[in-house]
Amino acid sequence: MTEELQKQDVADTSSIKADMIAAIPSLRAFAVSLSGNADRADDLVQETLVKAWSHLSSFQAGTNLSAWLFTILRNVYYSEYRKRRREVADSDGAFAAQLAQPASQNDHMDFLDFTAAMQKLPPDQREAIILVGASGLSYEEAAAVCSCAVGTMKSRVNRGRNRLAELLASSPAAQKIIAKAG
Amino acid sequence: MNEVDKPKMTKKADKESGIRVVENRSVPKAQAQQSEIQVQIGRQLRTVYDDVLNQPIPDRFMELLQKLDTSKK
Repeated sequence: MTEELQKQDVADTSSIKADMIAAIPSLRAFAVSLSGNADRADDLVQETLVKAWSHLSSFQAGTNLSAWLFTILRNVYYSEYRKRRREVADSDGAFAAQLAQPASQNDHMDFLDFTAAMQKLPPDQREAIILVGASGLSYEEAAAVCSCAVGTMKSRVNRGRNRLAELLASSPAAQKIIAKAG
Repeated sequence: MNEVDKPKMTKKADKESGIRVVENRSVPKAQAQQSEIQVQIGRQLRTVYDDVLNQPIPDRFMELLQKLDTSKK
């Protein structure tokens, strides 16, 4: 009996391990978008995995593992964010400059402008537009990750993208877009 | 012509970005510019995200999970 239980346990952790590995790319993508910093993002992911592993018992089998991991990651990010904020305010673009610029950037909005503008958003709006706009979560799923109401999530997404548009409107690349669209 | 058949405004939900783009050929310029900026924002968001998403998983995470898995139980 005991042996059987142990066997069960081993099987469970190895399948959870496989699921966690599968979730790593989206966790990293979320962390980079959220923090604007590739190195910091990987530290966030690392801490998330360690936390998740030590709290496996609180994960409900059969529910969405990556949503659970996203929730842990944002908690880690916010507790660090509050700490950092007390220390030094992040200077604009300092983080962005550390990110490798994707090869596909040409006449689009300037990458550094965009990353810097993202970091100027209030973090709740930033995470909202990442979860809904890039991770492909539904408003309901994103609201669950952030433990807020669906309506709150929708309003964060709206305010976030409007604010982002305002911030970017003055960038040279956006001026070009405006000129084209006009 | 048959203006009745043509909706004055077509709302297109950009499914991937979750950003609703309002398209209207005769909208004021400012609105067209705004929606163009929103399209760019959606694209930019996904560029950053997908770029990382498509990277191989760094070894440090495979090693970490291996370590966690063997240390537990």
